Amino acid sequence: MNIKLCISLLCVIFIGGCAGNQRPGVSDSRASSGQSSGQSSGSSNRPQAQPKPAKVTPTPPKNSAAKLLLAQADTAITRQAPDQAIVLLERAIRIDPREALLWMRLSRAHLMQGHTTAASQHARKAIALAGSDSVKTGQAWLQMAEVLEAQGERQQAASLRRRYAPYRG
Amino acid sequence: MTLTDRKVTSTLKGTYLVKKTPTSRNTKVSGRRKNSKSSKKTGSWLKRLGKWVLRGLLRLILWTLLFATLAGAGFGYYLDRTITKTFEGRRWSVPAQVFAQPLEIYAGQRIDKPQLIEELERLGYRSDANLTAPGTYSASGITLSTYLRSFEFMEGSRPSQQVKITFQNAIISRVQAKDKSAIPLIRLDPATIGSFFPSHGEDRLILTPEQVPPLLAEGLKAIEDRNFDEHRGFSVTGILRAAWVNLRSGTRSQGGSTLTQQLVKSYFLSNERTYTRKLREVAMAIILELRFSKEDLLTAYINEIFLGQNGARAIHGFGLGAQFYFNKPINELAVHEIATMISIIRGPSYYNPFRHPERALARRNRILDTFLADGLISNPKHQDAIGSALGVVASPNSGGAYYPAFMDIVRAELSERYSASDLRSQGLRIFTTLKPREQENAQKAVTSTLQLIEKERKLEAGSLQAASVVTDTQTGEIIGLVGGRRGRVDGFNRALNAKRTVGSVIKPVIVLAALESGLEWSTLVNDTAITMTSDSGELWTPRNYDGKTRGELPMIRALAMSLNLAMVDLGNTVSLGEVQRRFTDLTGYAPRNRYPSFFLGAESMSPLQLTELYGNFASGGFHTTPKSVIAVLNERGQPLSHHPFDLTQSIRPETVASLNRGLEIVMSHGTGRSSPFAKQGVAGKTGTSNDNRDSWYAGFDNSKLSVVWVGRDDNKSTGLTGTSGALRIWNNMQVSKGVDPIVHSPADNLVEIEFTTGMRAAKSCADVVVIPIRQPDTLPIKPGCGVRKTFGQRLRSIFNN
Repeated sequence: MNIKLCISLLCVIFIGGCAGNQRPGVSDSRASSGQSSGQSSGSSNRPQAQPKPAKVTPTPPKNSAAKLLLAQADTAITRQAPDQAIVLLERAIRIDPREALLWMRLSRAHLMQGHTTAASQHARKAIALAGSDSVKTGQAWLQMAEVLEAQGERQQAASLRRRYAPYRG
Repeated sequence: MTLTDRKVTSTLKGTYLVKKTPTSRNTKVSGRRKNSKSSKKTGSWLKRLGKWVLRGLLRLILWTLLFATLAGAGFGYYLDRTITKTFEGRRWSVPAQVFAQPLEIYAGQRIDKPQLIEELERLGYRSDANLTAPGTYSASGITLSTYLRSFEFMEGSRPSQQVKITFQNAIISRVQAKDKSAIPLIRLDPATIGSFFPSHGEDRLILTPEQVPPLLAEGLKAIEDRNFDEHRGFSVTGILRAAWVNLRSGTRSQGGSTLTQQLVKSYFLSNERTYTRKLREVAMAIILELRFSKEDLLTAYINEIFLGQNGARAIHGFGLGAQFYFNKPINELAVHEIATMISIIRGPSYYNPFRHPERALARRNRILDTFLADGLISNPKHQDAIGSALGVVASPNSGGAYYPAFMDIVRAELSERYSASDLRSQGLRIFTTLKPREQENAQKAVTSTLQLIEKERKLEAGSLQAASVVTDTQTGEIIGLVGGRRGRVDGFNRALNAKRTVGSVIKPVIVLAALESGLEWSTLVNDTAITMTSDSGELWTPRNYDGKTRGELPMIRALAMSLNLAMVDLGNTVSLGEVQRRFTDLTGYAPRNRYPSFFLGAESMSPLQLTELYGNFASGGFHTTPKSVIAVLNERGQPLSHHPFDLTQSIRPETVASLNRGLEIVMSHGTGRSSPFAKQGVAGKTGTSNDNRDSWYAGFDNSKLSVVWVGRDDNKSTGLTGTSGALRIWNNMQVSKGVDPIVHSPADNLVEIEFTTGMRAAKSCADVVVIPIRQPDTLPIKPGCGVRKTFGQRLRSIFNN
């Protein structure tokens, strides 16, 4: 019996090794191409495993108009004019609604106004849209950390900051 | 007897007695003398009486005069106060203006040249090779140049400027200024889509004196009141002339009114033709002339005068008149168009250019002749204008953008923050989310498809009705809203107010609750006959649409084929309470139906409410209340309120991603498969209520969510299913632009399963669908498909062996 068990265990190890990470998955022809495989698509809103270090500058919006409006909104944020930034960012989102960076910045502008609920929801939206882009995902979580900090959730905020520190822009 | 011998006294009755007084004279007098004395006495009495009456009359006249003067002064004061107050109040009572979303122009924007020309023409831009003025465009080859009008946007004003746009493959490839410098982003001016006019129906666009074209001002004076600059409110010669004409004709047809009198009549008086009213009109006109400048009065007249009726909406003033009749701002009117507008004043109904174009043209030409005779226009301009057609838009509301159904939701949304009075009088500028192109597209699809269905099925023409709501998937903003088969007509708004049984479009809520409870798309459910008993003992026996049963089948097939029995079984597995709890989370309200028939959509909802429900899916798991307003500015352009995006995460990303894959399969393999777009990356669900009373479709691609309802206002059967009714309208909505396929995030849990059995399979051996499965190891494998077991399955089989 012991020999049978040993053989079984060896087989298990062998098969497991051959199988590797094989899953019964199929390719998805319409899936958006991510920049990194650090995060899986269906990532929930909970922090995932420690991502590998990556560049800290997120890819700017592909849409030139959205990119321009984002730059203008950033200037408004720097000038402490969140009202103006929100108007610009919403306009940008109407042009490019699936761009996570825009939602992230919108979260920041709302946070500047003290609207933590809106800031939190927009950060969540950014996380959901960031998909497999690990830099955007990381920065969106860092934005969420800012919101949590403002909401008094300091421990959670600190935890997120530690986890996504490599993505601090 | 002398006069002193007598006393005249009066009695209470008013008769007079003559009292004799003692005298030393002989009382014996002859009869003759007696008679003479008696007549003398009578004469003086009469004289005194006459004097007394005269004095009394004099006093009466004086008192009357005094009283009349006082009363006149009081009335004058009252009139002055009333007129001044009303005039001032009315002069600045401006209905709120509502604007659509402006079209953004930038390199990369997906729009071709004809579509952009359509957008410009909707705004009243006209073709002009030389771009001589704002509001013109010129198309040539792959480029389109336009001279944009200036506009006061929320973020500030944009001056009028010339822009050159180059296209490549139905995409804007370059945008340049006149000096060839690149313009990264610019907006067209937004379409005015309506205004909130008061309940008495008067709608107007207020013009300032500077905005009034000189030809209009001078032309009005030339036609309506030649002595306007000289008189003090009324014209004696005018009144005498009118009186003479009236006298001769025996009627009161002419008024001889000056512009000021016409203004008074429009502001304060009725249309009755009496001399009393005429007197009041004159008095009021004089007061107005004393109080206000000629420029003020002329501008008020230009803003006030009635120019036509459009349903419940009365077109007042030349500002709105120019938009209504010519779809352009007043400053862009040509000479002949100004003459047409002036010709309408005399009789907006009689000279209505839509109904009586010949009549209006004849009067317009007479007016142009007067313009020439008075030296207001040159001879060539006169010739040019005489040779021009009337140039009005095809029909009322056909020019520009007038969308009453969308205006209803704007009104409802604003009612939470603004009073009706604010909306009607404060000159607010309301920026909305509507995209006229989407709106027109949806309306056209609704109207044409219903006509086609009625024709094909030999239904009574006009018996079917429909409604639709189109939103942006990510922001929840309403970009189109159709309230019925006839657009641009005020009436019952079915998109907002028709609450009809939704049928199977509710089923994704059951599936969502099932996925959240841990069930898989491959989980088997029972499509077998069932009878349920309510608490009150009532029996309920649901049936499939085709009356058949199919036994055990996977959840994905149950949803895709919309199998009632299987969905009831699934609902019971999850529990009615849990399904309804999720429904409430996703819509913001509790369902009215507390029975299992809720599983099959025995719940009444409006198309707008259904849009809110499906917005959770289309947005990737965020709840938004569909909204229509972006911002409200006051008349000086200062922001009063901004209506930001408002969303709340309602479904976990991986769950909603999975659900949406399922809804795509509904389109590719299920009840939506007849759609030509079924396999192009769209997700959706059809629905049909009992006896085919209601036909529903709710679906989305990457950018737009659309909900369509088809039914009858009398709630009788249409004979249509969700597929043969509402889905066809949706198909036609997509024809012009095609769909924007849903882009998925990469997923590592996608598995090929057989559609009919839910077993793991391959394309080569079965009709498979690709769908997320959290525990693929648990799936049985279809024999003969060559599908390899997973590591877990192998491990399990070893231990099992």
